[in-house]
Amino acid sequence: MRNKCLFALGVVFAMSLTSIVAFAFSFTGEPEAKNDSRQIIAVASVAESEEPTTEQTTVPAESEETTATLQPSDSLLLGSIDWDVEDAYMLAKIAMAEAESEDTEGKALVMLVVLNRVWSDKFPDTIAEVIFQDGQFSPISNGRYDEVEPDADCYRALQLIQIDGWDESRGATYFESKSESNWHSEHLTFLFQHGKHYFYKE
Amino acid sequence: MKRDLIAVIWSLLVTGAISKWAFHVVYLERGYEAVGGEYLVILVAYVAAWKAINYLFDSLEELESERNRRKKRSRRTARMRDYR
Repeated sequence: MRNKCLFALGVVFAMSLTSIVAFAFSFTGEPEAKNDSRQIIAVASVAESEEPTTEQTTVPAESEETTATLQPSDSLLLGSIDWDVEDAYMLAKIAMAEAESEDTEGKALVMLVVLNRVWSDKFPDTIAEVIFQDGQFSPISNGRYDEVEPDADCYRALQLIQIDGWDESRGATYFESKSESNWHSEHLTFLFQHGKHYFYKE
Repeated sequence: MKRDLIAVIWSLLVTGAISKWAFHVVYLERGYEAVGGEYLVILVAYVAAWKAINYLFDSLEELESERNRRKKRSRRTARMRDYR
């Protein structure tokens, strides 16, 4: 009887000790890479699609100056993979709001403009801050950003950047649609046109 | 009542600590928090802790009643001896 009691005491003691050690270990270590569950969704949606984006090698004829090919570039993007699911969602959403009528590369280029700003010293350092910076993206001020939901093409564009490492933005930090205003062309360096968007950098 | 209260509190403490560790380990692997198999740990840890503490209490009670029986038996033996 005494042995049984000692055994039970040992079990309880061992469990207590284990839980204390486990609790202590739960404060150690950092994840190796923050994965993005939205990326998984993107991969899934691309898998469902019939025409894989990696087979497209040319851009529409209307955009003469764009050299957007879907080959992985040697990538400034290595450091940018650590965005989280919220950031990925915001990127997809701003691409949908700004470039719904554009093709996959057009959406990816909008995302890359946001990312180029994040990497630039002249703009805020997070995706959320860049997107919501006052007076920068018209869908934020006109409410369109809140109304749209990213479609499969947005996530395909996200995958293009995040997984394939595609970056043909040439460091663009601004873009505009055709408009009366010529502030961009007067103050910035024009890079290229893709679809209805004109891309610039400082 | 008191025994049950102690058992519940201890089981919850053990479960909480082990679950926190399990969530952390899974977060380190995945890089983000999501619902997964680690939630089973809560159930398993609680049941194991509950069984262990009750096993201890049962064996302590058995030990105590064994002692009482022995005492009673020895008193009766002494009374019989006196009677003779």
